[in-house]
Amino acid sequence: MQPTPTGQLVGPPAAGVSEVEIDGRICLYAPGSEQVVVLNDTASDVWRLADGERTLAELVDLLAASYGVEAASIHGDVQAAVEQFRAAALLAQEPQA
Amino acid sequence: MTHPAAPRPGRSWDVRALDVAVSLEVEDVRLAGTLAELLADLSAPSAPARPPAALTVSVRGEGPWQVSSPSHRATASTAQQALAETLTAVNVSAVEATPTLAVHAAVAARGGSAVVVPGRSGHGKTTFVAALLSRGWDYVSDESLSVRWDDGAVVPYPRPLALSTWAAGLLGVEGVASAGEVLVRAAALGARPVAADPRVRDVVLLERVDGPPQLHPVHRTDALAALLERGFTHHQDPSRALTLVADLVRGARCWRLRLADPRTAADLLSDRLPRA
Repeated sequence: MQPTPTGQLVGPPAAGVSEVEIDGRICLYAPGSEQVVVLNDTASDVWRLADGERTLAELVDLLAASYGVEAASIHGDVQAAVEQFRAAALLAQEPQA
Repeated sequence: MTHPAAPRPGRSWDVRALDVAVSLEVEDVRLAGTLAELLADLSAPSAPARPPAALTVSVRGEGPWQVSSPSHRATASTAQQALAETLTAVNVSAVEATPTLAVHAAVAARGGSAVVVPGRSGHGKTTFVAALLSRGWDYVSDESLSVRWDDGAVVPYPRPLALSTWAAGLLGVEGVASAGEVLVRAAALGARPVAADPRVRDVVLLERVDGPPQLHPVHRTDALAALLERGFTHHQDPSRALTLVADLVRGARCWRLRLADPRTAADLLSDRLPRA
């Protein structure tokens, strides 16, 4: 799977993806994969913002501003979260080549 | 001129499996007797909240045997195969028809509180639950945690435990040989089927390691993942399945049990988990 380009819109969630929160952790369940994906803090924030109207770069900037850190310092974590969503078929939209 | 059909030899009786009424029709009287004994804990009177679904498992012949049900058909050339195929037919057909969320797990209870052990076949969950039964726990199931879709109640499924020959020897229990397994009822382990629908109090994830058993808390999300990844009927309503299992683990303590010997592990769990 190719890495998500920074200009790619992220999301929205794929149809049928269900979500619960347990002890503060977001758990996602996609019927196709039959896997529960438990999100860490950064991935939870990315998931909440992944509405299909923001690019990966915009998500990084938004979260960097929210956390009060340099964008470069969280880019890897945000990208990893998006790749996690894609691998588990949690997103409706696949990046264009 | 018509003649009335000759009555078939054998017998018919009903059991309840996963909240499904299953009618058994078995021509071979000897096989019928063995099955009736093994399935006796599924025949106990119960008070279902609603009329259950119904299906029939039939076994024709006295060798070879033709086993058929809505979800399973097989021809058996030996009595052991016939027994195994009939129990498979009951199980598979009940799973197909059950009005419950069923996930692969063994379950025992004490004082109305259940401990759930998720795991696939061959994972050691049946042997471990059998060891719990021999230490005074009540039997719920060695196959399935079954939760009603509508109200979240746990439905017991006390089918005969299917132990490996090794496990039966380890626990010192004798039963009915069937296609490489030893089938026993809870009573053979000095236990009884749970009397009322239990409440899930603990979820225990087994991990095989050498050395003495160790019990450690784990995050509830680990239990959620372990349960949902072993579903039988979650595909009927994945969103509801997630909600039901999430509700279940929110009210439970969740553990990882590292074990080599299921007997010492059952001792540890019996000591460490307070009675309700």
